[in-house]
Amino acid sequence: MTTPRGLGIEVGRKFAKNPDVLISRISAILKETKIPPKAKVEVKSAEEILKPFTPQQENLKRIFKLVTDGDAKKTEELVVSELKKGTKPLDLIEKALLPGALAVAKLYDAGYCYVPEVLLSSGAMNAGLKHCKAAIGETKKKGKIVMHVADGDIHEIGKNIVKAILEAKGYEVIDLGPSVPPDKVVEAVKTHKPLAVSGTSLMTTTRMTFPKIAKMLADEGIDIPFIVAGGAVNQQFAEQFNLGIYAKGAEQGEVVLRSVTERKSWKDIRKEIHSSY
Amino acid sequence: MVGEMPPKKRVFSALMGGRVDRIPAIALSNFCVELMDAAGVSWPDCQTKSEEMAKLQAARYEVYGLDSLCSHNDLVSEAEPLGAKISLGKRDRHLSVASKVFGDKEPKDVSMPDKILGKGRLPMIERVVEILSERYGDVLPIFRMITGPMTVAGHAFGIERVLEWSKTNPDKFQAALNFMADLDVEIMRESMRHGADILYMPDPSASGDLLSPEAFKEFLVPTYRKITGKLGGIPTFLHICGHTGKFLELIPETGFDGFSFEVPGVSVEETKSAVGDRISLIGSVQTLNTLLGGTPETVRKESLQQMLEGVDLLCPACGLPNYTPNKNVIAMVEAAKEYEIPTSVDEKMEEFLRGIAIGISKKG
Repeated sequence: MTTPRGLGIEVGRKFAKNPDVLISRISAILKETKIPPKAKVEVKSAEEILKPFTPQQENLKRIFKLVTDGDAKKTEELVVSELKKGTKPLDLIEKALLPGALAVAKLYDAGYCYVPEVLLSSGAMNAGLKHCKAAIGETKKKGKIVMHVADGDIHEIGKNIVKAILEAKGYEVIDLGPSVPPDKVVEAVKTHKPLAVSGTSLMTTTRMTFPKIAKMLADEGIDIPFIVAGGAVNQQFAEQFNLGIYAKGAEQGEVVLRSVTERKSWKDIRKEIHSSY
Repeated sequence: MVGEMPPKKRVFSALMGGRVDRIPAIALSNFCVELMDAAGVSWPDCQTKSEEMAKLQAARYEVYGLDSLCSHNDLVSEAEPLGAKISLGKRDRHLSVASKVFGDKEPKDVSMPDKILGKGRLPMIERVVEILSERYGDVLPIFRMITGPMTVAGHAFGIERVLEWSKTNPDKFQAALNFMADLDVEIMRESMRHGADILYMPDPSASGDLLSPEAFKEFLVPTYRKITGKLGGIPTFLHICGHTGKFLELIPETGFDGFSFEVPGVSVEETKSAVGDRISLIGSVQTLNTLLGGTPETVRKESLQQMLEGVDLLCPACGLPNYTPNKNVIAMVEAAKEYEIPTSVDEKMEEFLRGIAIGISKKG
């Protein structure tokens, strides 16, 4: 009760009577109180965030815009018509659809939009993606990742969005779904031999299964990166156990996967990614 | 001082912004293994049998020494009678919803099941309220915990769909919320007949991490007003986890008497300066760092600091983690007893100046 109710008049009168005494008392209190240094915050506008993602070509730009607006129906229509015109499906994916979804994820990180917008743009990307994939046909995947949500946690929105993006990037995702017990995760890793495994957790009470899984993997002699993500974890948490790497979003997830194909160790990858935050 | 108050009076008064002898200490959930042991109850009985549940709930007072009791602790008892399958969890894991209720159906295609109050866990919970009210109702307030409309809508229709509707189809979104608001009101009215005094409404999915302030203002605020306006003026409070900073200005408009917020998602100072005296503040001793991971002394220090900064009811920031030691919750209660609310002009002045000092130091 910092400003107790009914305080105004009584305190005001007292202050008016003897301001000097009160000012000296507050300076005394201030001397005891530690003042933390101010953190520097870099603020970018929404336009600045969108710019590096925006394609140059007009036709691609239109699709990009529809994805950022989260309009699945029009995105699909335009992608179909572009494919008919002969636009390369890979260009549509890599220059319009994927950057659109990634840009909205960045806007979310910066506080310009919320989860509904991210879901809608990811939906729009997928609507276009299925036609592009059909046009390309079966291609060789870049590698596998096993994804799961922590045991006891049923929040899988974040995992689903990252899954869509990684699939669009050409990775095969083995999705174990929400609330997965540790032994199921280890079993899936042994069966599928992925580049990396990921676990997401929103509820802090559920994240303690991650160090457990990491240990079980190590006991099996597996030393692939264990990407942890979601609201309940951070960099410090990931550094508490071997294999742990904290990913803020899909971007870092992809860096981990790419780094594994470049034969980097989890230790080096962790160092690289954690120092980028 | 207004003399030693019975806890019931203390909690009512603090929630409604009135005089208190000291700040009351309450808790949201108490699903803790050490408390189960102290209360002499076993799992799963303490989640499935009224008599055992009542014992665990009474331990809030008997073991922790808190100023309030509560009906139960799960977020699934509203979705279950609509048809959700629930998982009972474990001794150290909360109950959860295992399947959404309505599949791909839309709000216009669904109707309230007949005699819904007789379904699922609801009758069992009402029996707990009855037992607590009979045994403790003269001295302690009985909270009825009812999951908020946004969270139950997520359980019923799927949270991703509900969130998308908030952008693409306002009518569907509002219809889903209205449906759940009606259910919540019906449950609370029934529970008041069994002896519940205060509505405690957790709505974790209405978080600032998921929804925009615009959507909160346009849809959630009127939905909450609808609920709080239909309960005959009993005290009510809302809990939302995580980052609620952008909603704070709107919270007093919901019609709830108290708001339970979560540090570190928002700070006490930020919350107090946004809502002022328009709503009572409930919180917000950090659950992981302090109550689970800290010592009685760190709990005491944080509690005292938060009361100084402006919380009206001292409470953990969110549900207690399963392995919270009893002694840490007891330390929180002791801190509430230790903290003296200033009464003389001099004391108030001292506190006022301290408030300025805290404000300046945090501004940096």
